Amino acid sequence: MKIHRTCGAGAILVVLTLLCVGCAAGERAATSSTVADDFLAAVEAGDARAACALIAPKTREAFEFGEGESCVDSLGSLDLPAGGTVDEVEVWGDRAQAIGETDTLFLVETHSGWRVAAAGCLRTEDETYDCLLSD
Amino acid sequence: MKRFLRDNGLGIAFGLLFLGTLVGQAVAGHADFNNRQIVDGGSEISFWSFLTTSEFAVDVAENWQSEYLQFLLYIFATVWLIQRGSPESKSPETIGVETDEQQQMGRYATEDSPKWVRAGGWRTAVFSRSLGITMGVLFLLSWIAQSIAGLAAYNSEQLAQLTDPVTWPQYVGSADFWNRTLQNWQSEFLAIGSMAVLSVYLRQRGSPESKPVGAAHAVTEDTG
Repeated sequence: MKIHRTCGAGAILVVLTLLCVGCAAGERAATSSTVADDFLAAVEAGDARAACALIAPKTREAFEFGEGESCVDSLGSLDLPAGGTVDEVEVWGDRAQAIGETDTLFLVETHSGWRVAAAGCLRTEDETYDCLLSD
Repeated sequence: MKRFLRDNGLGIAFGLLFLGTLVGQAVAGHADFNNRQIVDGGSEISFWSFLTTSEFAVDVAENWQSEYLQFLLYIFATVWLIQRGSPESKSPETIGVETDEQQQMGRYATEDSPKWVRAGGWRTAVFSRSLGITMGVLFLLSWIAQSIAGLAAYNSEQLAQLTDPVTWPQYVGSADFWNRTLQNWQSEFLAIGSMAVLSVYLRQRGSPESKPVGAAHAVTEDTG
């Protein structure tokens, strides 16, 4: 009988994979949390220009297309929950979820840094979120 | 050098094939990943960044774990199960772990036997199971790596779909984890079962995975 031989290599790579997945997550959680805080603060201050600058391009495009006017002119009509700070952040890959006192935000990492992909989100029974602002 | 290449042809050829296909997978995976990023509103990433993503890691690990499981099970199964007429099987008389004489162990060990066989005690006990143990450890490491990288990739997708992320125990019980796992396992079991049975009736001249071309179908434990 022949026993198939296989390259035993790979154990080191497997261990490296274990160590690498999720590494640097702490640092990225902090930066995404800061963006979420800044967005909530901008909405509370009524600073639509600053808030819109923190919205992800695809979300902003979808919002402006739906409203028929610029983000700056129409963001106030959404009546997004405002103020408060982010209590908890989870980062997975280039996506993050920021849960604050007043709102739950979803963020995406773009070339310009973390941006808000969805805001004004309420959790539904099937564990998904209905968001006032999303793409 | 020439002799080294000849004596290690199988290992070198498959090592190069492995590296070549891994690079190919990385290139194709990177292009696919960036296509999905554009659709999902994310940013395109560089090739080197892609190599550190959980998406690439889970795709690699899920295949590795199934390969090592295949060899692990085959190594153990062929101790106790036979396929009459297959060169992959031993003969019915030798079912089981066999005697020390057949295995050249204990007082039947020779001067050429590996050191740990001549040492006796726990060293011989470990060495006599070292192939299975190594395959088992590599399988478990790969499977754990798949579950961790898979969790990261899955949660990234969950967040993109405005859904709560899941914990590791939840992911290990999820359809995504078992779909990735079982689709690899079934293909490995099919391949190994096919090889055991087809090699009873079919031949490949010169291959040690086949019986000699002229050998009877009923002949077991003979290669050529």
